[in-house]
Amino acid sequence: MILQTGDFIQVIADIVAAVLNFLKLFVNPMGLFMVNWMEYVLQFFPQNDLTVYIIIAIVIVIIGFIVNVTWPGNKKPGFLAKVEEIDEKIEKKAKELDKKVEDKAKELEEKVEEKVEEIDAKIKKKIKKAKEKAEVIEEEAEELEEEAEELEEKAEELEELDDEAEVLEEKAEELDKELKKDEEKPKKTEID
Amino acid sequence: MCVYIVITMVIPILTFTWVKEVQIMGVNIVLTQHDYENIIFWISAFGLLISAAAFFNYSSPKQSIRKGTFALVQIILNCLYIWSYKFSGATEIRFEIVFEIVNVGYISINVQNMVMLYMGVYFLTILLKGYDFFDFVLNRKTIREKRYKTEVGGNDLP
Repeated sequence: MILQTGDFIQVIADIVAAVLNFLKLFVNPMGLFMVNWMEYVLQFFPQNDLTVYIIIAIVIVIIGFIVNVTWPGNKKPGFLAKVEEIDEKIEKKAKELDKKVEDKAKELEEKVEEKVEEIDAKIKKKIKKAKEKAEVIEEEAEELEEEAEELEEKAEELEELDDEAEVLEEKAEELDKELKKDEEKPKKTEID
Repeated sequence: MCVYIVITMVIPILTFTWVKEVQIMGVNIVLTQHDYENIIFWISAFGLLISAAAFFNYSSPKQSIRKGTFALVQIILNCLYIWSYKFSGATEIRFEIVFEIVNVGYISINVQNMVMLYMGVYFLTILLKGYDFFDFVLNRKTIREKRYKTEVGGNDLP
């Protein structure tokens, strides 16, 4: 049993040794380098005084606790904060410019609407005036037509009067002729 | 930190204490290592330092320089810890087989090769951690930018 346990460990160690022998070319220089620097460093480590290590461990833990609580890494770094500030300023300015543009656009729209309304009103007024003038002209035309009709009627009446005058003149002439005849008749009788 | 205390201190100390005097089938196997106290001292010393460095390392923000620094320190201390097994004599454990006060013989286990393999692995780990450290230092700006872009509110993962 004892030998079995020992053999088992020895077998593991042998397997590891075999692997290590296989990698000897690479591992040996690494191991030598490691051994050298570690032996050098270990000279400075105090021996047979565990309190030094306890103190160092406590100090590291306390410093780690304080440092990682004070600076947990969720505070934005300065350069990112500046970038954000610049972004915010740009956004603000962009918004201000947008607002200004919108205001000016609104003002211009209002002005355009006012002008359109004014122009509409003027056009309507002109249309009204034109309509009134047309009405006046129509009325005048109607009056003129009426006057023309009246004048035509008068002209017709004058023609009729002319005709009547001609008839009367003819009658007068006939009467004159009759009178002359009548005057001539008594003279003949007197002669007789 | 507690995990490291258990792994680097409690388990090795208990193991060496158990191994110090074990009885199999009525036969006492006594650890003849003269420097048993020496082994315990170095295990305790480096175990404390490793645990403290691990606390600092794992409580630091992800990909921060202090995390990189203490990860590297932790690996170096691990190397020293492993090496302490060698120079304190723990890699060449010699058991004396004692049967009814009479010393029958001894068993010696040499695990130096295993320790050397560990040293090679740790050398590569040191290179990796060194690369991480320089990566954190050189790409600090990019890492921080990424951290605050990906994480809402800029909270760091432990």
